[in-house]
Amino acid sequence: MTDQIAPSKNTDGESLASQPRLRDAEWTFERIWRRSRYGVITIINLTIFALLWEWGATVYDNANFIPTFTDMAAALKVGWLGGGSDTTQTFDLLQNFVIAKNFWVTLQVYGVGLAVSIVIGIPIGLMMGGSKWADAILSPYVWTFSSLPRIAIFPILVLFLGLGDEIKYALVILTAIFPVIINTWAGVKTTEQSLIHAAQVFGASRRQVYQKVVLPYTLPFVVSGIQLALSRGLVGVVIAEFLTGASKDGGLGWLIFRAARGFNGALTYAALISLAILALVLVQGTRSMESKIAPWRQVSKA
Amino acid sequence: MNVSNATANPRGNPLVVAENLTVGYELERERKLLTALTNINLTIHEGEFMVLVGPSGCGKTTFINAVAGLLEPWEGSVTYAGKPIKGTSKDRSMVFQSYAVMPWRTVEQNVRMPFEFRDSGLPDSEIKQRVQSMINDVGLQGFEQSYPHELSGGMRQRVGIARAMVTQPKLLLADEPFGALDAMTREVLQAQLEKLVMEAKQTVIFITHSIDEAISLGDRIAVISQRPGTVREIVEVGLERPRLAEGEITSHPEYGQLRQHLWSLVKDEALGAKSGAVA
Repeated sequence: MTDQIAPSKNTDGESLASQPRLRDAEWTFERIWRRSRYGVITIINLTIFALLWEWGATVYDNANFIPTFTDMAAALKVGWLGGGSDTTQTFDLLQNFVIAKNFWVTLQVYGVGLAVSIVIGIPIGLMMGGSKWADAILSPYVWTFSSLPRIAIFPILVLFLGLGDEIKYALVILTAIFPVIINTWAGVKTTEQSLIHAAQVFGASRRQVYQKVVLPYTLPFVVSGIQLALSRGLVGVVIAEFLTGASKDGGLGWLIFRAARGFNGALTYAALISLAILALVLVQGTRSMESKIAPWRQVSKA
Repeated sequence: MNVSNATANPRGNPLVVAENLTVGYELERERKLLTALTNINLTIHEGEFMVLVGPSGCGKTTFINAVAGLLEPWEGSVTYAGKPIKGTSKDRSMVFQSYAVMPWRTVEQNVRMPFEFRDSGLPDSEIKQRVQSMINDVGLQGFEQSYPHELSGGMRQRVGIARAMVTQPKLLLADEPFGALDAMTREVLQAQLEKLVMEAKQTVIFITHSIDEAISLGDRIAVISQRPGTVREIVEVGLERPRLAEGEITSHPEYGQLRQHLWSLVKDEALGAKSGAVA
C-alpha cells in the first residue's frame, strides 16, 4: 500500500473512516504546469522533429527516399481530405482520399480478424485452462503454431485461399488468436488456490467457482492477451497486404508498398504515419481499458 | 504424552473428532504424494477454542483443510457432529492466512459471498442487515464500497473474518489468520476475535506458529510435531476470559509457565525439523 501515507498507519478502520479520504486540490499555476508539461514537451518535441526532418530532407535531396516534411504533409492532406489538383495523372497513386480509402480497407480486415480471434480465442483458452483433456489435445497445436513464424505458412495459404481478401483475414487471425488463447489459458491456470478454496468453503459449486472466481481472475489476463493481439494482428494485416497483389486499394500495407516501389516518397511516408497513428491509438486505448476493467490489478503489480 | 480424548473437563460435546487421521496431498509437479499428517487423534468440543501450534510445514493447514472438507482422509477418520466430513458445509467456515478476499469485490460484496453460494433461506433485507452489522462488528463501517486493494492488510483480514462469521457458523477454522500482520494490528485483531467468538459462542480451530498467540487465544493448545505431523501434547490454558479486552495477560504467572513449557516443546520440534532437513 504505497499510495496511503501517514494516516493509514492507523490500521484501525474506525479512526480512518472519520477523516475525509479525498480533497479537492487548488488550481494553482504550478499545478496546471505540472499536469500539462508533458503535453507541452511533446508538442515542442514533435515540432523540432518536423523541422529537423525538413532540413535533413532538403540536404539529402532525394525526394524518392526522403520527402520533405511539407511534401509529406501535403500528401497526407490529399490522401485523407482530398483537394489535390485536377492535373493529378490517373496512373499516379496519389489520388484524392487514397489514404482514407486504404485505411478503411485495412481497418475492416483488421477489425473482423481481431473480432474473430477474440471470439474464438477466449473460449479455447478457457477450455484449455479448465479441462486437462482439452489442454492435452489442443496444446501441441497451439504451442506449435504460436512459436512458428506465421508467415512461413503463407505459401500454403495461398494455395488454398488465393491472393484475395480471404488470405488477409486468415493471416490476421493466425497472428492475433494465439496471444488471446495463451493469455486466457495462463489466467485460468494461475488462479490463486486460496481464492478457489475460499469459494469452496463458502459453498461454491464447480460451476460457481469457475464463474465467480476463475473468470474474474482471468479477465485482466484476457485484456493483456487482446493488447498483444492488437499489435500482432496489425503486423499480420500489413504483411498480408504487402504480399497480396491487389490492383487497387489493397489497404495501407499495399499502399506503402506500391508507393515506395513507385518512388512516391511523400505518399509512402504519409501512409506510414497514418499506420503509426492507428497503432498508437489502439495501444493507448487498450491501456486505459485495462485499468478500467481491472482496477485491482495495478496495485497488486506495484 | 497426553493425547487422550477423555480429558475430564466439563466441556461441551465432541464436535470434531479425528481418529488415527492420516492425510496429505499430491505434489503435482513431482508426481509424489506427500504425507502431511499422520495418526492424528484430536477431539475438539463444542464451544472450545482449540489452537494448533507447531513448526512451519508440519501439516497444520492440512488438518484444517481436512476439517473444512477440502481434503479427504487417506486413513483414519475425521468426523463433524458424529458424521464423517465429506465436502464443505455451511456449519464450517474459514479465515485464510492470505486473506483470500476477492479483489474484484467490494468489502460488502465479499462479506455477502457466503449468502450467494449457499441459499440461507433468509430474505434479502435480512441478509443485507446481517452483512452490515457484521461489517460494523469488525470495524469496517465506512469502507463497505472499498475494494481490497484500497485497504491495509489488517483491514483485509477483517473482511476475511467478517465473511467467515456472517453466517454464524458453528465452527470457525482459522489458518494463521494474523501471521502476515504487524504486531500491533495483530493484537487488536486477536482481542476482537476473542470478543466476537465469545459473543457467538463459537467453536474455533486456530492455527498459529506464535506461542504467545496460542496462549492468548486458546482453551487448549495442541502441539504438532514436525512433518509428517502428529499430536505431541495437548496443553490446557486455564486463564480466564476475556483475556485480551484489558490487554496485558502476559504478566499473569501462569502465562510465563505455559510459555516456557510450550517453548521447550516447540523448540525441540523446530530443531528436529532443522536437523532432519540437514540429514
